[in-house]
Amino acid sequence: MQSFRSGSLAILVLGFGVLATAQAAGKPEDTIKYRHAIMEAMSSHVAAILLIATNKIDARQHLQEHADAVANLSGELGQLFPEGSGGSETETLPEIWSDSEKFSAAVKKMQDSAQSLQAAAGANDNKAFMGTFAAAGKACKSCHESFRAEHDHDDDDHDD
Amino acid sequence: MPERVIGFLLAGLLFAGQVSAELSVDQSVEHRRAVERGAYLLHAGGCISCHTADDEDAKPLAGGHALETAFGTFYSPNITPDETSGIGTWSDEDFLRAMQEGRRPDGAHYYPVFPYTAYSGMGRDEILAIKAYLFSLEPVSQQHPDHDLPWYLSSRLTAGAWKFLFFTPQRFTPDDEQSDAWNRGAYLVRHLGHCGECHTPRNALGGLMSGLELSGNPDGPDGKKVPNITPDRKSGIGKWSADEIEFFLELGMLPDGDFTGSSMSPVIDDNTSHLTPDDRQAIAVYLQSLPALNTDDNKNNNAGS
Repeated sequence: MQSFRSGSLAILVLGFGVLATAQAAGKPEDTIKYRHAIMEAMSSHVAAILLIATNKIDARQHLQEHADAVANLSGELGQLFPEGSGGSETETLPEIWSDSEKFSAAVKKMQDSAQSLQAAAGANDNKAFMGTFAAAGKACKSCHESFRAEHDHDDDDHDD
Repeated sequence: MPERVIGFLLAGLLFAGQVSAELSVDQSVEHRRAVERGAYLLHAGGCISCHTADDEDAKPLAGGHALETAFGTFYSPNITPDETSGIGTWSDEDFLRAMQEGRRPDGAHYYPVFPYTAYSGMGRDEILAIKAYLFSLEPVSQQHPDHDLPWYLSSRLTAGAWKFLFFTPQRFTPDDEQSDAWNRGAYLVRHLGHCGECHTPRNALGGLMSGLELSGNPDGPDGKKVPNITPDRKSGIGKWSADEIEFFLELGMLPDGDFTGSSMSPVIDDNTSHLTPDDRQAIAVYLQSLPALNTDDNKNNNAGS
């Protein structure tokens, strides 16, 4: 039974691996759309977190969900930028691939800080939580600074 | 008798010694306070991001940062106290003249890429506190490249003509009708922080269009578009709460949860994140009091120019 379980776990892990590769090998325009969707989802959760954490919205019971989402979504970051998914129609900068070491380090930093955010969300210490929020924000910002072209917020405004 | 005279003299000397010791203690405390205050003002004045080169190991404030503008490429000077490549030989008056009047110690005019037009609103004490801080730093010997300008701007006389047209040195005077926070915000935004240098559009001769204060600049530094930060709900930041403005200035987070990576990033890192919460709040109070200017209507005109 035990070995069956670990066996299926192995298959499951393998399956995820295949999935990740499959996703990376998707059509570039789909990869770009997916990446955009993940980034938008992440920022929406971040916006929600801030509204809760600054007591604008009384929804403390949902704080953990949003923090979990940020941590989970940031787990995908490493697979969102396969070679060939850049170009002038995207906001990616070529340094993502030419300086992949620095990019991987930036992704890792984001993932680590998102995990700290996730851990702090349940701890009922708003000040400490805001500290982890600021650190995660710093990670977002420094990666955007190095690897994202100037972002035109007018483009996001169509729906509001 | 002579003993008595000597006694008096000695007492006098001791007394004088004590006074001068006290004086020098006072001066050093005062100096230390000025240095501390100067460090804060240097951040609030945004000096670091322009006076530091872009490379990762660049020495702070030693200049060499290239600023590409619609009028040519400017290289910021070294403002560490190095005596040959920096400002180590400058007197207080030299420093004041540079900051308030836009003149070099030799009398030549600075190009208005150096925001003396904004710093001119600062008082003597604040400016000299910045100088005290700069002079407390290690001198760095580093020359900066010459500005790369079109021929018609290469003479500093043009800068003089520009100043004649667009610049009147003037100290900031608080508006009694407004709150303290508003006045502090106005001072930080208009003068120390010189936000309008990037966020206010310029006319063809590079003068700031004061009627369009902070309504954005389609042709900002490095060829980038700089956003409208007046309270217009559509084209400006009218939908932002005061908290959101303060949060943005502290962390670079936009209300939609995105984090900026724009040219505002170094401003946040070197300037606004170092401010006290009260000062960030004052900035929000002032920005929210501005007339809301809708710049969407002339968007097409701007895009074409």
